[in-house]
Amino acid sequence: MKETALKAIIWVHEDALRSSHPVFFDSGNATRAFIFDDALLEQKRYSLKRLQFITETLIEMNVPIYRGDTCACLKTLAAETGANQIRTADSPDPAIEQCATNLRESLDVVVVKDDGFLPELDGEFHRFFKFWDKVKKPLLS
Amino acid sequence: MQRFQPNTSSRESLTESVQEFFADVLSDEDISVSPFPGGEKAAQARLEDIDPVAYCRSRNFYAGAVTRLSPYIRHGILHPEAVRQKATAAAPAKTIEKFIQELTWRFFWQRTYRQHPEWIWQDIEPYKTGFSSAEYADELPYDIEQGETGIACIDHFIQDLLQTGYMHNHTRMYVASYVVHFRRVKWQAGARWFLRHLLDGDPASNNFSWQWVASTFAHKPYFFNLDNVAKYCGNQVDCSPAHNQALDASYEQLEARLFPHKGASGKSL
Repeated sequence: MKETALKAIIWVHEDALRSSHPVFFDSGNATRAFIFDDALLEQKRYSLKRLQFITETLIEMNVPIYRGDTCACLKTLAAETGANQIRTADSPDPAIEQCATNLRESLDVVVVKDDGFLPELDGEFHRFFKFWDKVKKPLLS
Repeated sequence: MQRFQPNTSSRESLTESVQEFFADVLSDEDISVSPFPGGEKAAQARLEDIDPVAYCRSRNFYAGAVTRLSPYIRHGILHPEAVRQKATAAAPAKTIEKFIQELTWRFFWQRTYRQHPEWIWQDIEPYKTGFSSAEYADELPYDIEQGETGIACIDHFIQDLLQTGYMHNHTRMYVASYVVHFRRVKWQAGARWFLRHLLDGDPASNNFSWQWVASTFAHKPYFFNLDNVAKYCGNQVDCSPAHNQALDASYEQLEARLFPHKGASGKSL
């Protein structure tokens, strides 16, 4: 286990910028990386305010920041460091899953869930208050 | 692959580094730096200041005791359970239900996003406004983008967005409603614009909320009038009828003006 963790790269993304996120547990001296993806930057056109907010957070977390194609950067970093695993935080963002799928062709990818907040619940809820009625009990205890 | 090594000697230096590194994707007009600093220390400091009881009492008011924690929660900098625990340490959970409910909204949207990622940019349901999607403009008009609509309160709220990257939730609804219903612009154009600027912008909360206002994820369109803005924002924002003429009408008058083809039942004719 420990040996695997030491060969991992922790791919940090904008949905999980907290040092206590479980993705960082047992990660030893694994390389960390945040990548501003060129294609997503072009598509999202984040303002200076957003770019600075994320940058400030990463600096405080001591996470190296890169810019380029996310998958290509991670593969390059893996090759440079001899890593064979990418660890990243779970996210509903399909772009993250898409990149993870691409990386799985050559690397082991581990997606780490955050600690839970809401109880696990099956089914779909199209209106919030029906959902709230199902989840509120533990949240209000 | 480029490594970004910004100058961190001061916040101003950092801003210059960010401007330089991202020069190709930032417009020349984009020079505002948010008063919200990033990072866990800033998040914790803000968390220390929350008053959930006052929040429940005043959250709909522009000057209400809102927490402004959303940029930190959106990026996972603060775990929602830490926020809930901090709130319930200040008051029994049942007395601050609204606070915890609002915290839960984000996770409701995230869950929906995970189940239906395709809903993020497509109309989930038809508009219930009497208009079809094709009757809404694709692009955001320049005067809206710049906060120069000539409607004082709307321009004030847009300047909040452009200058700080933060908007009070109620003012987001006003601006979204103005864009979609008063100017008949597709919600997607407004949602893209908000995501560019809002520090807490995430596709799920942002886009589903726009769809709720637009009525493509709700039973009816959300709209408002000047009386409502004056009630919640009147002490801080120019809500004079002379400077907000387009909004100065009763709900009945506005409904007839904005949705002339909508039946009395709320369904399209």
